[in-house]
Amino acid sequence: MSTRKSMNRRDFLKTSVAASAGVSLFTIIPASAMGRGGKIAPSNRITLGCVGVGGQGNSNLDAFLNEQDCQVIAVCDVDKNHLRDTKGKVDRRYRNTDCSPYADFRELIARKDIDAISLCTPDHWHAVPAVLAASSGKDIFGEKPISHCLAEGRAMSDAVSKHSRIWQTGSWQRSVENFRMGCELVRNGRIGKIVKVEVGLPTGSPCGPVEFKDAPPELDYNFWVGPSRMMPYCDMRTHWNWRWQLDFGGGQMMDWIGHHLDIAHWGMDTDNTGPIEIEGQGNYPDTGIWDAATTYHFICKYRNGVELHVANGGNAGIRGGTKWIGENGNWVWVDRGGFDANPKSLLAEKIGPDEHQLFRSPGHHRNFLDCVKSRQTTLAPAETAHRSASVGHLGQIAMQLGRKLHWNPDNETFAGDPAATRMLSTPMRSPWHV
Amino acid sequence: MNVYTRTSIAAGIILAAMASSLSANAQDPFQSLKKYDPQDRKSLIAIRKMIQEAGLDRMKQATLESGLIAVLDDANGNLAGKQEAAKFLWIIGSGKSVPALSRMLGKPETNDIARYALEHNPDPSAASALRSALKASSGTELVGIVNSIGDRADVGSVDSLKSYTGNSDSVVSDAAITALGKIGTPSAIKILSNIKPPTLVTENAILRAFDKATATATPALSEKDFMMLVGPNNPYAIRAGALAGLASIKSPRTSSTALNIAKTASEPTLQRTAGRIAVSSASPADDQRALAAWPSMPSSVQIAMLNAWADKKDVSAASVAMTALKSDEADVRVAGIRSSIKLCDASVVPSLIDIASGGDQANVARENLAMMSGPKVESMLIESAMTGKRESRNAAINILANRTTQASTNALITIGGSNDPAVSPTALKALGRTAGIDREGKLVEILTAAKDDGIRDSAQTAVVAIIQRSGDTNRGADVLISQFAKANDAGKSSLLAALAELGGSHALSLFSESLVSGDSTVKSAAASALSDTWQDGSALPLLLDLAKNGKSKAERVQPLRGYFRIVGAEDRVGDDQRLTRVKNGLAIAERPEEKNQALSILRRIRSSGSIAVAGSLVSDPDVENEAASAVLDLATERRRGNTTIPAVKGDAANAALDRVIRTTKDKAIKDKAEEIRHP
Repeated sequence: MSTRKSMNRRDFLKTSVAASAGVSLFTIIPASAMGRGGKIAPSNRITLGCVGVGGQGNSNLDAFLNEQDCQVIAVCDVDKNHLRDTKGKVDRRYRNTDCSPYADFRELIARKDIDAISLCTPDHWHAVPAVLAASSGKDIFGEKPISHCLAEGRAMSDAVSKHSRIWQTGSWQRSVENFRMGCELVRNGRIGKIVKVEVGLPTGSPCGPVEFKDAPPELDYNFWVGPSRMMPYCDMRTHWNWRWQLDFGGGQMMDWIGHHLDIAHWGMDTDNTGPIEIEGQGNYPDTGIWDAATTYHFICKYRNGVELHVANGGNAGIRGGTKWIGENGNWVWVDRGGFDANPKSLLAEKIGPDEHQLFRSPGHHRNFLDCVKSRQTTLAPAETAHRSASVGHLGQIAMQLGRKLHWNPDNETFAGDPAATRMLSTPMRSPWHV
Repeated sequence: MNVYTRTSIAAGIILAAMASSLSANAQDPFQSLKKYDPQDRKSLIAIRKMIQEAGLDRMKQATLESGLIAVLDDANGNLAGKQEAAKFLWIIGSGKSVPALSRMLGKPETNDIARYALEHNPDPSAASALRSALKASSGTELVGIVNSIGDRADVGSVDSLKSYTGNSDSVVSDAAITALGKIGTPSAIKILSNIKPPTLVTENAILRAFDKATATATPALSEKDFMMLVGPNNPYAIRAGALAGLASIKSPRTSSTALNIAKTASEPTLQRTAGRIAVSSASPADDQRALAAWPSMPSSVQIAMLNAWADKKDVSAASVAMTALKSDEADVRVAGIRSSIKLCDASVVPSLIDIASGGDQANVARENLAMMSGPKVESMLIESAMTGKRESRNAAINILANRTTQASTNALITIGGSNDPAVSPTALKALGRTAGIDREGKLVEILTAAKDDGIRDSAQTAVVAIIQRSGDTNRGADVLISQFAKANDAGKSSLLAALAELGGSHALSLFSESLVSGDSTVKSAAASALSDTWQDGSALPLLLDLAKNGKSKAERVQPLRGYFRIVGAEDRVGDDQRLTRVKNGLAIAERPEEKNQALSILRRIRSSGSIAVAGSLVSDPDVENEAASAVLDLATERRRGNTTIPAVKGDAANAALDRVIRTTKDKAIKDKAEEIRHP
């Protein structure tokens, strides 16, 4: 069975963990720990298969190709152009022709010589390959949001836990200093008791009329649609545009929930729980094929009384990024390239070793590879990602039903709302299931 | 008229009233849905609004359900509309919609659509409908129905599913096995246990079934069941699931059973899982048993147990963590380091500093010591940084650099100022990463007092870093400028280099003064720093002046190279201004190297002025080929990433190309120019 085989290989890999772990803060891996010329021998590298190699998947591939203790040996995509381009890229990087291309992720995951996968498919294609990979003994670098619906996220987190796999979510803001520093200030009480959190995300947009037609020959459209409802093909359906359609993605809101809301949870120390009440409103376009909410604002209440607002930037006066507001009006705000606070003196605050320190990441992909070797938990494990994505899913349900929902984050059930309960999961098109 | 007919009529009246309440002019959304156009979702939004307004009222929901059933039943309706109707029914459907949905099962074009709604329908008749459809279905439709039965966890389907577990089509058998795992009753577990040999799908189904069987307050399986299933003759998944089951029912036999499996199982994943479970108990007796067993465990289990003790901060395992630091196995030592900072007191610090001083685990030890908290930890680290062997001092310094307390920063300042080449540079580099602007004055003092180049360079780097982090360059530069007059020659050079890195108007004033200083050392240091390091265009007039008026060629060349370096790097300047700057520099360029610098900038200014200047250099024997190449480059369309950059066209381009054709001796260049000029 693949699990046993790969575990043996990983046990072997662990011989190099002693040297490479902990590279985050201090210098570089000593040359003595590497092979000739500072290179790690291929047999000592983590072998990786990349599933979904367009767009962000291509970027993740680049990141892994830059890591010396990692060897990409397979790529997979339902678009032959993506497959051709990325196989070429990998082969050029390693100066060989060894990278195997696959159109079906199941064949890639079945390979016993693959230790880990990079999973960067559209949202509706996260759960099936992730659960299969986890149960097949693969570690997973998976993109955010972790899931297409709440129940899928629960299944993925459980599978990762049950099979003792390592999971890193592509919520890379956790690996960036200003986000960590913001969270450390909040966690260490520098703004006092948190009373409100504002999460500002991008605004969506509708699309114009489209022409339904046959999918291009390079794309296996039936496989691309996979477990989702079958919809007629058009150019605005696939490749990035899937994000704005609820059958495949979750709009700008779900695209970014795994970034700024994830950071909000990190600062609030709510990585393993969620809100107890959710209500809000969204505006859904009535024409065109993009049906995700373009503007939205929902409010979540947590057990400790904190009120968390999620809105498209500018809506309800909420600024893009993540802002934690304390009981005395002090606040900390972070965004990409942005870090501000009231009072400003907070920005110069130092967090000492006897305070709550958050992990200083050596880089998001690097952290994943380190943890594959050490078997320690990553910076953005599956359960954490599930909890941040859950807020988006709950907001989505609340906006669609138009009423306040009462949620129990411990057993992940709604109180007295069967319709909301049914919206926690999405039936899958045959033959797919998790 | 029967009860159903009467209900339908009443529902129709209410439905019409609900639809008309949307808008006097709006078309009935259910009628629209029958001919649904995927690019016009007004009907969907209207129905969603009606569902919102119905709230939790089952009567109102039932009325809407009637409208949706009518969409499903309409023989002339399109599939897209039925699919959307089914999506609403997966939210509000009841037993009422089951007959209509049942009729759609088994047919390739509608099977999935019906399943979507039936899978979520809580009415028992939905389960019956799916079960009934099993026998009449095959292929993908059958698999879909099996999947829906599994997702409903339909206990009544266990026997029906059993017959499919041996199906010759593995897609069907895998679906049935998975569905039984989701149902998770003892009878389902029994069926799964008897599938030989167990495949990956079967093992996963078994694990899932155990989860299900132990998830309720009254678990379906007892301690006796689990003890039987945990035995060594069972497959891996059964043993792992049963062990987790024992833990979940808090059986007193969990710890001893887990330790036995951890030591004897051949499956590494099972061993590790058992190791963690063995440590999970809250009982002191179980704790003692696990501590005593640790030394005899395989290394993978030792690591799992250490991680588990560290996760629950169980300080009773401190001695085990200390022992792990001396393990023969490198990965156990790493786990020992990581767990010891959570489990041990300050007495472990010297051992960890020893490891941090060198060897394969040095980085792990340093990183973890930086995070370690507790009484006396900091003071022991400071003592190690102040005294002892060079290796351990430098290790301790790097650790202090990542602790960022007042005490650690004070210690680093003291070490940085000690003028000890063995440790001062390490401390200063560390301060550059962590110190605040309040430490600038002290660092500048260290810089000007340094007796060693390495120390001075490190202090300079640190000063620049903290000023840049402060965001107020001029204010930071003022401190450097205030010390300038008092500094010795080496110190002045270093201060000028730092100021050139920082930039800003205050620094530039000092450069203006220094460039006319009577002190030749200061003058030369200022010219070098400005030429080699300054980053923005504010220095260009000074550099151009030096390049024009320098006494020796060397004194002219260095500032001109600096001039072109800055012109090339300043990409926020408009093309016209940039071109003027290039022309000014070219006017005094004496060597081909600087003319080539200018040409490389011209290639990025895609204008007629730029191609004219490049064309004028075609007849300069120093750079004729480079100039011709620049003309061709500008006159050709280029791609940068996903952007197309148009070719420069027009009279100036034609003139430059003609000049290339006339002048060049390189046939390839000439041919290319002809090709562009006369396509």
